[in-house]
Amino acid sequence: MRLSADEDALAFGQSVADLYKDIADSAALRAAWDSDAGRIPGLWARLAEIGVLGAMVPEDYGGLGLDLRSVLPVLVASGWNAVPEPLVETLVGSALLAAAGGSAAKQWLPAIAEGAAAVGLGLGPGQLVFGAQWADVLILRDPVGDAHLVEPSQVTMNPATSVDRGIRVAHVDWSPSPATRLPDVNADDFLDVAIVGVAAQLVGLAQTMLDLGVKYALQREQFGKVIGSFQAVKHQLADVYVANSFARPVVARAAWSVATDQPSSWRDASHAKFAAGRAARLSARTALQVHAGIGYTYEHDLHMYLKRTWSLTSMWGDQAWHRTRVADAVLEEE
Amino acid sequence: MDLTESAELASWRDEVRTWLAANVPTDPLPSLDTEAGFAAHRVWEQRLYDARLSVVTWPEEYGGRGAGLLEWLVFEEEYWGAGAPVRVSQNGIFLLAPTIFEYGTDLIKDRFLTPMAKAEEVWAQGWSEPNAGSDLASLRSKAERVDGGWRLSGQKTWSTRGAFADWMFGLFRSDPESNRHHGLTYFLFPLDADGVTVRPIRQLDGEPGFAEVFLDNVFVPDEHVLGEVGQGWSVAMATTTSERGLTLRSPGRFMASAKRLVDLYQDTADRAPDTAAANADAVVEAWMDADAYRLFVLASALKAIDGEPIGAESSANKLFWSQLDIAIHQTGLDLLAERATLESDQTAAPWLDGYQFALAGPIYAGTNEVQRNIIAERVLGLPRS
Repeated sequence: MRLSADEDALAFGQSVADLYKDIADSAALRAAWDSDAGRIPGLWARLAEIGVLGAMVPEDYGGLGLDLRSVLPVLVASGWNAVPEPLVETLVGSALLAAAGGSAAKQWLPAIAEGAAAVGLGLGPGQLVFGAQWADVLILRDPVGDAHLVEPSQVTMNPATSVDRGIRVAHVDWSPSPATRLPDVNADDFLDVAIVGVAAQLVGLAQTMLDLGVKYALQREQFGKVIGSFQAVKHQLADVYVANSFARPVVARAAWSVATDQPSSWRDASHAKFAAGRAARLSARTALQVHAGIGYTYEHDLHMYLKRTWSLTSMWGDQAWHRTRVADAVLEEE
Repeated sequence: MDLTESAELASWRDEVRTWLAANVPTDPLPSLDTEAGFAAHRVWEQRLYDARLSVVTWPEEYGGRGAGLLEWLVFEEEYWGAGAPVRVSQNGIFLLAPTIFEYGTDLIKDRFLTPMAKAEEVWAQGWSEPNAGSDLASLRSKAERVDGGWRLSGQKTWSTRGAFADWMFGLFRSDPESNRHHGLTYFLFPLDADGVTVRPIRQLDGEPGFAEVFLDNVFVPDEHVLGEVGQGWSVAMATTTSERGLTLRSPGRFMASAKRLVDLYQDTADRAPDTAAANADAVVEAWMDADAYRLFVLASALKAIDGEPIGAESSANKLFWSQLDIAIHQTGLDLLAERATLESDQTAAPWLDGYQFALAGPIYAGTNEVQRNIIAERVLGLPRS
């Protein structure tokens, strides 16, 4: 038995964390937030180079052919840095296209692995299409649960603006047809892959805000002492540590459960996002309280992580949606 | 990541489950905190011992199975899942025994382990004193050097199982010039020794679950000192690490409680659908947290098997399970609505008992405030106050 990621996956995650340190730090994130494009210049190409974008693309199409378990540390690192790229969308889109096979796979997978194409994802559970404005191709769920491949030129896109400037979402008007339908894939299965991916990002995000809170508590002095020496501050930060420590193994289990198609995979995915979302929310509130006045400014970096927490916890299924899904599995049995 | 259970583990699970199904008493035993209940729990422990199931993680020569952590987790899941009795010998087998295995002489191992495993000798803890609770290092009960041993004097309190136990393990100040963590020694002594007075204390539920123990010149021979004289603090910390870490509250216990909560929810949903609906969120969150606890402990066990030390994360563990236990039982009482406090109600009584027991969780084994300090200082690197 093993619950942590294997050595290769951890090394993969570390290489991505190193890349982010180089070109996707909080200053780069801030610049992306202030730009029209909303992305970090050059980052997508570098992610392709080190194999992230092709991670879930089969080897025959120029990828690494890995499953969700192997990219989990990459997603945690991406959450940690709150990277503003359609990463979950593109990874999940590539896994879905690989499952569908055929001409769609042939057309899009090599381009995805090379970094030449990003995917927008509209698999539910709400109405939003994630990464829509950045996408070269959209994968959308129809009302009966089939997935469709649609090019942005075939739809009417109504962009929405999120307070989290590092994401792009839209409402999309489109018409499913036999020509757009991808065979042999159940959109809901891939929604669960995305949910676990977002849960992993939330765990990373919760860690960032905990680290920021601790760092500030060690610097800021009041009453002649660093505020981190006061129990009222210490205990709040300890509670965040506990919440996130207990979310991590739930997310890891969900990655295994979804990747190996366990009967409880959908319950485990929702449990993961609920637990990670709860930890991230607590971490966000605590980090803001510890930073106090300076944390409540646009000038400090914290607000970007707070807003990413708000968007990730309310999108891809909000907290109540995920809890209800677990309730359906746990309370209704027998 | 791979959570598939091995064939060996599955067959161990099967063995334990089969034995428990045939042996667990159908009617619950009387409360551990009554004389009759204490005796009944000893008989149960003897039965477990005869099946070599009372101390599965111990070496075979002392009646165990040499079971590893994963086997232990499986045993505990099955044990609590079967509704088996609480462990009267818990203080000894989970807190003292790991210290004996690490620091005990052969004489101590041979003298004490087997009677402990059979619950012929049940152990009470002698840590807290009236003025040394969370600040344990301020303890003042003393040990004076005499010919062939020591004389212990002072007062211990909140001694779990103290009312009916046979032996006590605890810390005493053996160097009168010392203070704080220095100059303490770890002693083992019988509660019926000359000079020992045990005064049971009624707990929240009215029953004598713990005791005050007064010591007046109690003689303890040298061979009943555990570890080095003057090193009692570090010897004792070996116990508290395992206490807070993996062995004090196994996930199996909370998984069983969470399952009972779901059963209670389903009964309530049939009988009082509005009450059930109003509490559904709390029920499912308690279930999720019990499952998270299981996964966290499994992850810690797998790390330990890989040779990584279990450190301050054991404090996180203690915070989580103690809050989880209260949440499960509070939610159970909420589902019972106006029946919640009726001791005469067969369904409510065990929830009320469980709730009162759970309320002690954030207090004993180092209060949760102390655990938060440990996390803040040792994990997060914040300064001492």
